[in-house]
Amino acid sequence: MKTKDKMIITFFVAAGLFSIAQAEQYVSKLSATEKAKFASTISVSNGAITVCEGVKIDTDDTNNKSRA
Amino acid sequence: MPTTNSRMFSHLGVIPGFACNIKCKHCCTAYMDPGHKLTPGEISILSRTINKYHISELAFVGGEPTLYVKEINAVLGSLKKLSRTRVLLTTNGKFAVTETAALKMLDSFKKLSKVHMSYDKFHGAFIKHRSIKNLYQACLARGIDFDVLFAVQDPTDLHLVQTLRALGNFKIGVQSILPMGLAKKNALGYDYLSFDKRVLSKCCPNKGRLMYVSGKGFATCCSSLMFNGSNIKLCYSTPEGLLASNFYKLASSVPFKRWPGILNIPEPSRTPAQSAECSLCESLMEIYDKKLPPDKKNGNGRDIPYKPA
Repeated sequence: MKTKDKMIITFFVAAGLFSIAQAEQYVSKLSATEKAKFASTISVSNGAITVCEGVKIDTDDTNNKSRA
Repeated sequence: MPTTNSRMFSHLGVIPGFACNIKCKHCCTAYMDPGHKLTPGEISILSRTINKYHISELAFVGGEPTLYVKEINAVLGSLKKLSRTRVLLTTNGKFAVTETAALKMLDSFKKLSKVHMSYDKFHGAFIKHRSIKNLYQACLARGIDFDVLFAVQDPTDLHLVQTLRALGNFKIGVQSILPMGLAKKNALGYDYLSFDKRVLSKCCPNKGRLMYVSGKGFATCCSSLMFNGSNIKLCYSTPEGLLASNFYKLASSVPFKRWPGILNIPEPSRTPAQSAECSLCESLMEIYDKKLPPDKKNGNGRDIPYKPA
């Protein structure tokens, strides 16, 4: 697995969108162009993205949850 | 009646009403009655509850809570320790057409500690990027924390983060869209690709948190069961009633993998969507309700008969 793939997988898991297995499954289907676009998004997000878990609202910036 | 600890809940979410000024395709509360808003009696119940349980964090969600400023201020005005209570608001920010308009709305509340602005590709059909910037700047000016809550249908939606980052240096909370309300009808729920078995070891993600739903009462569920019209009784007039309910005990203390055995129901088919706790919970309770004989159905809003050990 390439470094870029690992970076994207880590990003999805950290954002709470996928388990590691699901993220690997998703990334394996991405084209090189799509991977490059995700790498760019990850670079720009620069730690700004936090996890919304379930349906709860939290004030903790490291574990931010809500429903709108 | 269970023993209640006055500090057992620190967080209370309140839905003051379900009216909204935009019509998003993925709205989870679109099927709820938009005509009801907090009554004076409900405000009194909320005030007693917040004071009794020393709630330190109040979150107003919707619907669109800025349509209920009067009711929210009535709740806030009744609190003994407002200065020690964090007040959160989740809004679509439609009012923030200018920074002045945003400031005016923020100033209309007796207190705000943090504003969550909901924005994603669906809100984007109604809300301009400028409104995000206006509300962010207004929050900065008033010393109010600000972030954007970003609902994701597909991972490629995350590319919109690049646009948001250009609008300000705020946090962006990402959440996958659950199949509830219009998101279910329009098949806009997040695609998990495969079933994540880790969910089986989890309990209700709202455990330990309290919701008050205008016109309905106190609940722990503010998700699929509530907004997809479950037959299970979810709402109670008091927190104590909620705590005493069998469903609350099950949801808050028993991991999902034990539910089929306890409820004597077959295992649900494990679909990718059930990687989300709320979707799995809804599936389990649907199976359970179908299995009940007609005279025991929960259709009349009954609690489940499960008696935890």
